[in-house]
Amino acid sequence: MNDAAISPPDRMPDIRVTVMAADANPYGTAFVGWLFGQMSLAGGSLASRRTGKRAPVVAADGFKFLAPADIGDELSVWAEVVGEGRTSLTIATEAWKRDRHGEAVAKVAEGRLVFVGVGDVRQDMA
Amino acid sequence: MSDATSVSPPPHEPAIRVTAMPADANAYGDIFGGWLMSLMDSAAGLVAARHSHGRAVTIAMDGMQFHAPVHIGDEVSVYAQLARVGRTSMTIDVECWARDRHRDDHRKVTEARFTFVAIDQDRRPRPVVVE
Repeated sequence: MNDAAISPPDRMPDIRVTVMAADANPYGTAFVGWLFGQMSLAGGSLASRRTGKRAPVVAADGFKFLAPADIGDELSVWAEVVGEGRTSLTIATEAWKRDRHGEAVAKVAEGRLVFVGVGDVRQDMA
Repeated sequence: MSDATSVSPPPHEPAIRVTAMPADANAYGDIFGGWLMSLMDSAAGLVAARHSHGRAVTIAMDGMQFHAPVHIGDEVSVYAQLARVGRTSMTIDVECWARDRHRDDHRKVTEARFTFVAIDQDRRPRPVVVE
């Protein structure tokens, strides 16, 4: 995706949520596990939509957490298919924050997820 | 830590042990990978904060593998071990093991490597305390 980008992708985000106190770590900023969860949800939504099947995540790699997101920030996640195997999809995700009281944005995290499309009986996608 | 073919969890105590609940499930009824990753980050964070005697934040995560699904009711144990210590950073290996609540056998469900950086009050990197 756009590594050195100073602005988020120019299309609709796959997920947009407000960072709440329940999502914070002991230091008061968004917990990385929660961020990863949002990125995984965005990737999974795209994977299910693309495969038309259950699409569990099987791997994740190259995750970088670039800046803290504060409580109250608006967090947006973009997902994009960057690789396609016989049964798998590699999806790049990036998360951006916007200060709730202004227009300032910054990239918070990025990383790749691999999903496998499986049928109802948990067999590999045909 | 244990290798990919291990059939038993690490011999040391888990950093976190918790029961997987319905609220932790995904749209298909299995446990959500993001929830597992949250536990892993929490476990690694505990090790990082304890070792560096202060605030430490996650800056990277690599090599995450989801080996097997986790089901509601499973006992999930998270093992975290310091793998490398740099001047301001710590690399921590984490794995999750699941046990069916009605059985004795364990299975490895996830593994990943986390990188943390120790930071000061101004969020600048600070040297890790060497024990």
